[in-house]
Amino acid sequence: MEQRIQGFKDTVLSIEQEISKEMIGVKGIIRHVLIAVISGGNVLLEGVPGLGKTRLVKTLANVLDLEFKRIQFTPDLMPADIIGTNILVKDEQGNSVFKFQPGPVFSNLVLADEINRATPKTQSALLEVMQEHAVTAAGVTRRVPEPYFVLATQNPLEQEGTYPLPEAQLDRFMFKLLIDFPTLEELGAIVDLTTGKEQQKAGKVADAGLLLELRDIAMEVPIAKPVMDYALRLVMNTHPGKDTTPEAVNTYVRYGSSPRGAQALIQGARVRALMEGRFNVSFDDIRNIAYPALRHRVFLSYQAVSEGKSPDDIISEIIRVTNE
Amino acid sequence: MDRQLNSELKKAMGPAIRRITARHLLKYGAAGLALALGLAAIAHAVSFFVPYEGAWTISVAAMPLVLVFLAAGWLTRPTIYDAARAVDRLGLQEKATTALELSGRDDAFAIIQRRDAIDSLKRLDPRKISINIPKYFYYVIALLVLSIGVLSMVPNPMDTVIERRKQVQDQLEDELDKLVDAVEERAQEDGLTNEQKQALLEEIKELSEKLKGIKDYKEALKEVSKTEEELNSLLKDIAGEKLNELANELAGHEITKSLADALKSLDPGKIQEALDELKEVLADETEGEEAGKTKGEEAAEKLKDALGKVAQNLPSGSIKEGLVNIVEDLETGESTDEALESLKDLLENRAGTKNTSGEVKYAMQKIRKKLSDEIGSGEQIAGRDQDSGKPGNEGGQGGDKEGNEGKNNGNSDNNGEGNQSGENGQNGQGGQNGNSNQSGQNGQGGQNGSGNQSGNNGQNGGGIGTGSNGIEHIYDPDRLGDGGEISHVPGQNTGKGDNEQNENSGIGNLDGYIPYKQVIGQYESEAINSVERRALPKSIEAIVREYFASLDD
Repeated sequence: MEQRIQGFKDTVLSIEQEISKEMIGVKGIIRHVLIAVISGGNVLLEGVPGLGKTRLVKTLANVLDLEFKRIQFTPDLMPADIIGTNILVKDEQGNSVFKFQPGPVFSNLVLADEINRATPKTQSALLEVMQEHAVTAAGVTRRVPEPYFVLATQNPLEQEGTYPLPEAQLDRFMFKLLIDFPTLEELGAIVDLTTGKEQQKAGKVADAGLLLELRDIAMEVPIAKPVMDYALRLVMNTHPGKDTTPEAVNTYVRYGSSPRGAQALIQGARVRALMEGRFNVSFDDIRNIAYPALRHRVFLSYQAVSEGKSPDDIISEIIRVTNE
Repeated sequence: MDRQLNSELKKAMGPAIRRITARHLLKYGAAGLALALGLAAIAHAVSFFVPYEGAWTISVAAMPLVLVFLAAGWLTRPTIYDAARAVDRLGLQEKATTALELSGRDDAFAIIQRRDAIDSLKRLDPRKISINIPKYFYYVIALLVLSIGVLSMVPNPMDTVIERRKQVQDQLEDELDKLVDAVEERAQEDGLTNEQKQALLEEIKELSEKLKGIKDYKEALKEVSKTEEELNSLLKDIAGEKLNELANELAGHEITKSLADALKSLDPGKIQEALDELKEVLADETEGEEAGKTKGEEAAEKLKDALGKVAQNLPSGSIKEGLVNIVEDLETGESTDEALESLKDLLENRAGTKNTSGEVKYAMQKIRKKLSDEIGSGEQIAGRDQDSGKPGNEGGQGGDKEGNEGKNNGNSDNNGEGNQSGENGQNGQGGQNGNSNQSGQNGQGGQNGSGNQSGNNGQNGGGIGTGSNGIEHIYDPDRLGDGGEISHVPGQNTGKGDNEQNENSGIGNLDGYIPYKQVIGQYESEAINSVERRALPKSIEAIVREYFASLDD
């Protein structure tokens, strides 16, 4: 056990290195995606088109040797297109029978590309599978293979013809990651990497079993009471109207994080601690994970939007005023 | 394994704990020192406004605060958990805190985590944990030390006040000793019983206690007045007892029976009448029963025998001595008139108001003078205190020219400032000036004063009057007192009138009044200038010079 704990960091490091072969300039994103994947959480990636969101997910699936499915969300996409449906088929005796035809969600890693283009009805079809890792169709509940992750992407620029994800749906994502445009150097490296004759390919360095094992290890990382208390106070401080709530939250926040935010925070911090080579969670881990874990759980008021405040601004303020 | 790791963990945290504890104690010690120095600085600063000597005493007494704070610091010293938190802040990423929390667990994760924490602690340089106290402590302590240094070096105006108070206290104690001597002398002279003497000494002792360390001289003056009243009352009672004793003895003889009755009545008029009657009997020239002797001579013989026996029966004391002297005078053929005059003086001294020892009175006056000087010198607020009594208005109307009863019912709350200058029925102007004071309350000298009581004076109580515009109001602090009582001054010449004067001794409200000592020099120089400029008539020059010369005395 001790060896596996000690080997955690090396395993994750090798996964990161392999992904980095195909992905340039998104080290922070890769790390957070890995944290979410090891924690068993879903990730919402937000960024303009062409930043490599889809490529990242594909690479990840390849490196982790996971079954990967991609769903391109469009307004006419129906729930059955995602979760599957019963179809009429002939059995061996020639009788017509209904047989369940699994949809693309039946995979280890599902890429929900441009998730906000589908209608809320279709988006909601993902709710059960994201949370329960099970699909109910025609009264029958079927489990999806483990490990299971949904990595969704959305484009923040195009608002026309899109359906913003409802709060309940957003809460199912462990992290929301913002992919920024690469720097000049990174852009050059990306071009080099993708336009040359010989492109570097990421190899498989893990599998589903190893991933589940890493998850089990991460679940045991100890967390000291002051650190746990700090994480919980951070989450509490996202709610307006409490005694310790910062003024910025009272002014700019409509609703704060759900308990899932606290869960995401603690679990993500545990994995990050191990990835940093530590065997306990630190305040730094909590602060680092606070942004991806809470930014989609802090719902801003119209005043905040009109004043150009982002959820990250609010989280920064909460971190500033919350004592360790 | 678990126990060993725990022990290793604690050992690894040892240097950190020691340094954190040291810092904690230093912080408490510095806080205690700052507080003690703060108190010392305040004590020194206050000593510039309030006359007290305890600044250094308070400073020294405050120093144990450092120890108190250190003890408090030790009681609240950081726990190992606090030390772990402190170490974690130095970059250990909560390893120490978590390790301590996991000290009861022996699962793989807990063991790995503890090892990691111990390794990190071993790598940590304990000197990273600063034992320096916050800089502001140094600044505060330096500032306070500097303040105390400066305050103790700057001349403190209150030092002179304290010195003066000490002097006053010493002088008061001297005067109180003299008062005790005077009382003992009086007790010896008058043959007072031990109880009577102790009662008098007890009053003085009480006064002495009250005056010890008293800062409010106005209050002290009141206490002196009260004690004086008590002493007077006691002496009066004692005198009454003695007089009663004398009267009883005199009543046992036919010749002095009427005198004894008069003495018992304590009525000066009756005493005078009895003496007049006795005088008539002694002056009787008609032939007596014994051959060759007039009735008057026989009566003188009887009187001599009677007084001799009375003297024999009385305990030793001034009355006895007086009577023995009269008897001796009568034996040596002294004229009966002179003998009667002596008897009259003796009885008068024992009756009425003339019962207080001059020495006692003088000693009390000295104490009052000392206190009044202090009040007058402006050190104490008494003179300016708004609570003081109102300045006395003009004193009462004096007696009329016929020497009838003159009343001096002045409303003055002040001690009769000076002039009882009422017109004198028989002796013309200026019965009493200034120092004369029958009541013994005020003025100098009491019976021994330089005043001239002459007959039934109409007296115009002076008092510190309301004055009028353009007049500089001055007063003599020596003569301030409190309370005041009405006393009756028996008229001597006519035997009828007596003056009722308000024996005021209250301090009064002295707003706008100046102690005369502050201006007397100026007055004197102005007067001398006037003399030199020949602005005054020649006949007046000598009077002016003499007046100021007498004041100097």
